[in-house]
Amino acid sequence: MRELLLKIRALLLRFGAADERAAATAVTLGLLEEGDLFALGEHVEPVGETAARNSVAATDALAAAGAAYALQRRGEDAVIAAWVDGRHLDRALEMAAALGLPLIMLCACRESELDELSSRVMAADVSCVPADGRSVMKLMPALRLAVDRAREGDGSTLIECVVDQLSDDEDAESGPLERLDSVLIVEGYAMPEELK
Amino acid sequence: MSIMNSAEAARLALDEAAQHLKNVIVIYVEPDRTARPLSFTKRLTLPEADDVQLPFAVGCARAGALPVLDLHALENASERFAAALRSIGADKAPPMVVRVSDRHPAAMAGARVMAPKNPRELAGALRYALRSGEICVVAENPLDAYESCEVPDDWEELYGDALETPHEDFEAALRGEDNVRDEQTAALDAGGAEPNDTGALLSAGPSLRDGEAESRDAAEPSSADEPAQNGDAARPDESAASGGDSPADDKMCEIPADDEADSAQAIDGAPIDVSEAQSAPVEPAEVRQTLPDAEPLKAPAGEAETDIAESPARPVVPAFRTRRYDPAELERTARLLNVPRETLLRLCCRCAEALAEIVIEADAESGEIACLPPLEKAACLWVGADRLSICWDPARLDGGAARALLQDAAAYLTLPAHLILDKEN
Repeated sequence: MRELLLKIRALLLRFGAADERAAATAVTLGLLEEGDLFALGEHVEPVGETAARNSVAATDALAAAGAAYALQRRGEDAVIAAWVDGRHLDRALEMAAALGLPLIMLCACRESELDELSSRVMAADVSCVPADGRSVMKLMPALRLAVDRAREGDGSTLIECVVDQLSDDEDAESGPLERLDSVLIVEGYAMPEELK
Repeated sequence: MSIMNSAEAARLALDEAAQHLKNVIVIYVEPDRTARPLSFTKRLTLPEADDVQLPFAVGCARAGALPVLDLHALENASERFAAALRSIGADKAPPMVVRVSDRHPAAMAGARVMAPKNPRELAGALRYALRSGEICVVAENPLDAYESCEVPDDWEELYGDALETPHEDFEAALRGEDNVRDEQTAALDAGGAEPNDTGALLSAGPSLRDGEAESRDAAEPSSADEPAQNGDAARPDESAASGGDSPADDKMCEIPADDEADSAQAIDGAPIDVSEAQSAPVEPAEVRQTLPDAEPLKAPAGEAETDIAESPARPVVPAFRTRRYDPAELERTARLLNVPRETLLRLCCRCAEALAEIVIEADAESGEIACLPPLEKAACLWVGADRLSICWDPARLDGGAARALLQDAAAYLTLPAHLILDKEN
């Protein structure tokens, strides 16, 4: 767990903690294994290459579904994650549900948009999990669940990453990096001097 | 070779691709907007929806697959695909194959549009498209759907068979082994064997390029023109058939009316007439004169060096060879692949680029069919309207190597699409 959190922290620093997608991307990359793919922008690349980038871009949901289908046809035990925007989302959800694609879709949204997005996703018979997009500790169980489902062939999952405040039990002013550092210190995984 | 219609030819090409390439995904679009996506063993079925198929196929391609979009069931599929390609950006779209039903396909920016006219061309076009690394649109004419013709079964063959002639016979002929020639003549008389290059021993030197004639005439006698004339008279025709089973291929072997009838050599079994070549040999001294930089003629590497001029009975080691090819086949393939004919010719001759200078001459009416190699090259490959000639310096290039160059280029010109798939390209 310590190694995983430190790895996520390093990715978070690379992507820039201020980016609203940084936390979810860092957690996703931390949980994916070698051989898995990440679709960003116009590229589909191994997670190792994505981890070396400084930012990630959203991709067409249909293109991500197509990449997931190609991965599925290979017969490999690999999954693909992608940030998706609104382009062709409904069609992509329909295909993901019909074909059982090993796809983890990350969608940034506001708290006010949660209900509508959830209804669209569940109407397509795709698993939908909301999570605080600014909290590494809240994203981890959601993404771990999505990765396990995809790897076991149970279908696709859409993670609704809420980028504005969702929970009240944490300091609303702190960013994902500060929140993660406090967890690392409290759990004894790292000393404050090491995190500076 | 099997006789099949368009659907069978396409199925053959796709099954071959699935077997050889392993990453082919056939995406069939149903003309039903309410249908659900279904995945089968050999294909994926998607419902008809605007701007859906192409992004999905693009995603498949980005993950390493080769999608084959089957849009036959859609109306105006060409226009819709072209519009979708423009919206995505042709430069950003990865390679894929698109099959549409269109009698008069229009050009598409960023995609190669091919319009096969029969099942044989359809199989060839699909085989090319699956390995080209480009966005290829294969527009099939629905009226030709049930036409049947012979389609090569071999995955590597796109248009037919290249004429393979044994290399050993040529070397034997250079050594003056007449028994080999007799055997081949007998085989051709029987009508079953293929013509070979040994019957094309030349007794003439090469003709001169106009640009170089002035510079070389000063050093050489005007008799340089005579060898060319004698060579034209004495040189039997070498035919490079592109598929011996098709009746149309036999036409390539016919000698034009303006060519010397005595040098005719047909692929259908007519005997090779080398009498002219033997009766009017050119003295080796004349050959030397046309190659001022050449050392005295030598036998091919590995052979004993003898003074050829001292033994008139031995055949002259040729410094010039020619082969025929089918210009109609070349033209058809250039149209099918949507490349300029000149580009296709240059690609076909790239096998010889390292050793030979390549001259592409569209006009062969002047009778000039070859030219001397420049000083920095060992040979000159002359690509005429219907013939391919190589003139080489025996001192710098082995006769067998020159013959191999000529044969390779000729083979490619009869299988032009095959060369496009060469890894070096």
